[in-house]
Amino acid sequence: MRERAGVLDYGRQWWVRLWLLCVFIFLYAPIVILVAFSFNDSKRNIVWRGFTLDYYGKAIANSPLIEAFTNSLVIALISTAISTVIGALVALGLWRFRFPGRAVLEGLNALPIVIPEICMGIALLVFFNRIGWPNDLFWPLNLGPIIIGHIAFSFPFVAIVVRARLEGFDRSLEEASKDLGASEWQTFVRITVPYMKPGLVAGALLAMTLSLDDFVITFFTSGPETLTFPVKVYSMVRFGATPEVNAASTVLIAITLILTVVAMRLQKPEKAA
Amino acid sequence: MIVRMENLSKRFGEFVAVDNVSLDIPERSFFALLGPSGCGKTTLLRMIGGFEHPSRGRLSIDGEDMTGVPPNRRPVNMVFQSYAVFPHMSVRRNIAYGLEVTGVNRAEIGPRVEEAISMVRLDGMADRRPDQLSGGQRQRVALARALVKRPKLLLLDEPLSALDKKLREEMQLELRRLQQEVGITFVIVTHDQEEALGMASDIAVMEKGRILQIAPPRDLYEHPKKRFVAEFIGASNLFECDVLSGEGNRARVRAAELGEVDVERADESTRDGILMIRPEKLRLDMRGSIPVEGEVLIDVTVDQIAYYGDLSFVYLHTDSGRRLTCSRYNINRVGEADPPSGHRCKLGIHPDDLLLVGE
Repeated sequence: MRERAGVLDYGRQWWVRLWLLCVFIFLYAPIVILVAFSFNDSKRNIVWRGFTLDYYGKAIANSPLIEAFTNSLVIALISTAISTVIGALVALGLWRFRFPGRAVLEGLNALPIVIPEICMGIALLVFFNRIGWPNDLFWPLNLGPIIIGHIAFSFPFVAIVVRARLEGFDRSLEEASKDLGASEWQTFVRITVPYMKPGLVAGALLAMTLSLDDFVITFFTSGPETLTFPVKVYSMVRFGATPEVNAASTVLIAITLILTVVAMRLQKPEKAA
Repeated sequence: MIVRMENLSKRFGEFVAVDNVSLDIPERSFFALLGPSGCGKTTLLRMIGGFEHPSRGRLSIDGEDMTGVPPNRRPVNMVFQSYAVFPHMSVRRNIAYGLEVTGVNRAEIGPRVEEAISMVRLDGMADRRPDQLSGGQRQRVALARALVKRPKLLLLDEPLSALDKKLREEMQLELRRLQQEVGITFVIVTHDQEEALGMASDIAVMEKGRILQIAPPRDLYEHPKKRFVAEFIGASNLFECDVLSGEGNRARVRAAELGEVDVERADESTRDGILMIRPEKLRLDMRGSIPVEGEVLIDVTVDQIAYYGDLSFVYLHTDSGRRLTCSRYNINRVGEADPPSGHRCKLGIHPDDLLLVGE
C-alpha cells in the first residue's frame, strides 16, 4: 500500500512540487538560455543553429571587451583588498570598544548597503566633479574613482560578516594569550586574526563578487577610457545581443558562481570548539 | 609571602567589587578564595593576574610591586573558567604557545612541552585539536599550558565548575598531586565549599567584597568566627542567645532552649552573637536513655527524614518551633531505622560542641 503523506509533509504533495518547479524555471530559465545560446552557431539569439565555441573566440579577440574585463579584475582586486582591511577594522572597533556614538556608527556603517545604488552613483559623480578629481590620469590611476566607489559600498558587507564572526569569539582567549606572555600585537596576529579568518575570506569574496558585477555605481564613475566589463556589455547589447555577449556573460557568471560557492563554504559555522 | 595585598579595592562604577582587602598568600600553599557568586573573589584573582587594575591599594608578587605591570610581564599564569584553549591549535601548539611568544630557545621548547604533556597525563593526545578533546582533557591542556611557563603562582578560576561530579572529584586529587609535584603556589577561586575544603591548605571566605576569615579547612569548619562563614561552610543550627560574660576564647551565654552554658567563641571580640552547632554533633536520643555527662536534653519532634545512603538528615523542630537539622551516619547495615515523622524524642546537645559566632 502506498504510504500517505503527512499533513505537514509538503515536499511530497504534487502541487507543491509543481509550484517549486515553476519557481525554479522562472528564476533560472533565462540564465540557462543565456548560457546555452553562447554556444549557438548563429548571429542572432533566436534560433538554435548548432554548437560552436566561435563566440568565445570572438569575445577573446575583442580587445575593447578584454580591456574592460581587465579593468574589472584590477578594480575588483584592489577594492577587495582595501575594503577587507577597512571592513575588518570597523568590525573590530565596533566589537571591541564601548564609546559614545557606537550605535550611531553601527547604523551609519549599514547605510551604504540600504541606500539605493542610483543615489550613491549620482552622489559619487557629483562628489568627484565637485572636488575636481583629475580625469586625465594614466591607466590604472584613472580607475581611482571607480575603485573608491566600490570600496564605499563593499566594505560595510565585509564589516557585517566579520562582526558576525567576532560575536562568537571568547574574549578569554585573548586574555589567556596575554597571560602566557604574548604582547597585544602577538595576540592579535596569532589568536584574533586566525579566528577572524573565515569571516575575512567570506567578506573578501563577497566584496569581490559585488565589485565584479556592479553596474550602476560604476556607470556613474567611469569615463570613456575606463569601461568595466558590465558597462561594456551594456553598451554592446545596445547594438543587439550577439552570442559574443552571451559568451562574455557566461564567463562572468562562472566566476561569480565559483566565488559565491567558496564564500558560502567558508561561512559555514565551524564545529563548536 | 608570595602574594601580598594591602588595602586593595576595586570599584566598577558605583559597585564595589573588592573592598579594602589585605591578604597574604604563603608560598607553596594551595590557597582557596571561597564565596558566593558576586562576592568579588574572581575580581581579586583577576587583579593578581593583571586583568583588572586595583582602584586603590597595593599588590605585590614575590616582593615586587605589580602596579601597572601587564599580565604578560607577571610571573603568574592562569587557568580560565572556560579553559580558553586556542581552538585553531593542536594540544602541543597550545602548550608551546607561551614559550614561543616569549622567545624561549627552540631546542628547549620541545622537551619542556613533552614534559608538561606527560605531567598532566595527556600522552598520545599531543596532535589532537581541542574540538576532539573532552572537557576534562581540555582543562588538562589549560593546566599544562600554564605550568610549562614555570610560574611562581598558578591562578585557577572555578576550574572544576564545568565538569561532572565524578570527574570533578578526580580532578581535585589531580590538582593536589600537581601542586605537590611542581611545588608552586596555587590560588583557586571557587563557590563550592566541598571543593575548597577538600583541596586547599588555606581558605579565605569572602562576602560582599570583604574577607571574613582566613583559616585552614578544619579551623574554618570547626571554629567559624562569623555567622556567614558558619552557614556558608557546611550546614549549621542556630540559637539566639545573650552573652553574659566573656574571657579569652570562652563565653558564658544564655539561650532560651539551653539555659546558661559555657561555650567557645572563635573571635575574642564577639560581644553578642548567635550559638551555632553542626548537624552531626546533635545526638538524637530516640529511646530516652541516660544523658551523656554535661549534655543538655531538649524535647523535639521529627518532621522529615532525608536518606542519602551513607547518612540521613533528620529535620526536627523544638517545642518552641525552632527548626533544627541533625545528621546520622548509617553505620550498621541492619541498624536502627530512622524515626518516623511526628515522632517525639530527646535531642542531646553538649555545650562543648556549641560555638558563639558573631553576626
